[in-house]
Amino acid sequence: MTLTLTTLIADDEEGPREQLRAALGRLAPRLRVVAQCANGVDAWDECLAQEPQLCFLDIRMPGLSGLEVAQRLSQLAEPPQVVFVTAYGDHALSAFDAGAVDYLLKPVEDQRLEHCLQRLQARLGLLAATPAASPAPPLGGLTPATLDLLRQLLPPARAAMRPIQASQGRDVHLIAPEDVLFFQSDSRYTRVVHRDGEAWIRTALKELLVELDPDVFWQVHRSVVVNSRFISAATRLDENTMQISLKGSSEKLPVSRQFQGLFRGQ
Amino acid sequence: MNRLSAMPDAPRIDWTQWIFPGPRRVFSEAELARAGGGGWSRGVDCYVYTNVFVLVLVFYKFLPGGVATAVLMSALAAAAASLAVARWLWRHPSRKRFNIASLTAGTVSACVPALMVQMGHRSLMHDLMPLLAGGLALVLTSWWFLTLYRSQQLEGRLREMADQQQRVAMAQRLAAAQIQPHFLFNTLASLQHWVDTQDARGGPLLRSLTRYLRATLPMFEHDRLPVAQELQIVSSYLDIMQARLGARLTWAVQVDTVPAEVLAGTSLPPGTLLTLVENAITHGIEPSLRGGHVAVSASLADGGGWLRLEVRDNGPGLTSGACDGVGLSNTRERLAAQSAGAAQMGMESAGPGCLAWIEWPLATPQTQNHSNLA
Repeated sequence: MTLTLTTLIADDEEGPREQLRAALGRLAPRLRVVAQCANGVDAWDECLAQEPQLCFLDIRMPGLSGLEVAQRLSQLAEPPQVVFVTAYGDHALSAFDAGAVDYLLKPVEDQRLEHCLQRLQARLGLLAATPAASPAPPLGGLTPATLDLLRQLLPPARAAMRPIQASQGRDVHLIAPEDVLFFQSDSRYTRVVHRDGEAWIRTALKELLVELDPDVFWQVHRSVVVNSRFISAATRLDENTMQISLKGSSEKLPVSRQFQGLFRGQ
Repeated sequence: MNRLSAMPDAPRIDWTQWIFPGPRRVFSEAELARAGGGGWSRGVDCYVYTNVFVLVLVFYKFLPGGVATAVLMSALAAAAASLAVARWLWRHPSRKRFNIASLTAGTVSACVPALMVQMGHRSLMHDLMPLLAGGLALVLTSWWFLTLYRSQQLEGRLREMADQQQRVAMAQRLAAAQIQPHFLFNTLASLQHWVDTQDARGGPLLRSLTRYLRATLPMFEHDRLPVAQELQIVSSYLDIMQARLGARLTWAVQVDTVPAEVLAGTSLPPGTLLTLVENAITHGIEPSLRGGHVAVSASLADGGGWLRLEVRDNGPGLTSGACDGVGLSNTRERLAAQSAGAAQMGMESAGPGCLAWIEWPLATPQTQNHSNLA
């Protein structure tokens, strides 16, 4: 196998994760595993940090399920190829037409994995041969139709988010999520800028993300999540740089290349 | 019979119905006891008596003078007798009973005119003959329909009960199957890797899995399982999950305060405790980014009259529908059914996480022996 992709493997259990990695090492030694994650939150974060070209996602993971990670990935400017991994075939995946989505059953069998890698190679060859001007390639190997199906399989929208509790000295300030302008991660802390000031909380941004309503709170950068109701404008500075201006704050926030597709105009 | 069922559409005359009419189906005493509920309605008695009374009144002026009261009395007596026979048929509808009843009624009815003629009432009997014949035909037809109706009703009820039993058995088997695949294949994935790489964790995991499968696969063949055995199944399950989840899971089983003979002598519906523990793992530990702790404990409650089993986790708690885990309502039903509604089961928020508990009434010494024998 001549695939030379950067790859991410996400599974909440060490055994299956290592088993898949070992099988990949045997069958596609040139494939480079850049990240191994034990939950959906880390998988999404590592996808933003490492920008792998291929993701093996376990369906059942804490934080974000494999399906949720895939849905988020599909909105990126250059989504990676996605292969789902699951222990039991009757899961959601059987809802897809044969071949619409790649998936592997655990424990992963060499023959099945080889077949999957061949299909990936064929698809990537096709993508490479497509001139840039032609219609956009399917997102991460997922067509809009399969994405719709995926959306139906996702759990219903999460319950309303609880107030954010920020300790400040002896006080604990409660901040209603709708009052938050944006969250910004800063090493181990998260900065919360809201209507009446700002606060710092210990919950990492990538974990906070899981609780936020993605329709309201838009991730625009690996380390920035903005309340879309407070965005006044997105300004393109040059080919790769874009920034956001906010209502009620003079701060400008960066939009990373992957998320610039959010602001296309109508 | 075989030829009939081989060609179900072929029109055939069942000649036995000509000389020996009535339903073919014969019910055993056990079947009658099971499906025979819903006794004879008093309303039918009242209805028949009223009709007889009204009929005699209507025909009053056609009756020969002076015998009206005697006719009324004998009609009511005949009605009472045929109702008694009807109840007898209702209790056990069979061809045999129907034919005995018909023959007896025919013989008695034949004796009446013979007796009357011998006593010199030939012309009176001539006038009453249509009444007697009509009455007999009416009674025999009613018995016939009653026997057929009752027989079909019992047959239907028995079929319904059998269907229901089959559905329950199927649901239990499904509940057992629901436990298996995801758990099994994830375990096999770890095992596969550890065997491939000759990791020392492979051996113990395989041993736990074997122990777990040996205990759970025949689990649903029994109605009850001693708590001690259920605790062993739970321990091997937690052993497996521990091997798979590593540092994300810690667990403890605490049953010291309960005498060993109580644990061995008290039986619950199989899989009850296991379902709660699986639930704690699936909804409490696995969805949590940092994992957590599962504590299983048994204690005597309420002065030793109840055995209380608890499964506590410190996961995300009840908010995300952890309460309606697969098999929970099934478990609740089985607990209620096996304890005549006495056993209790609950699930509540416990600071961090979720607490699930079962309270099972402890048997008195005699019934405890009985359940041991069972």
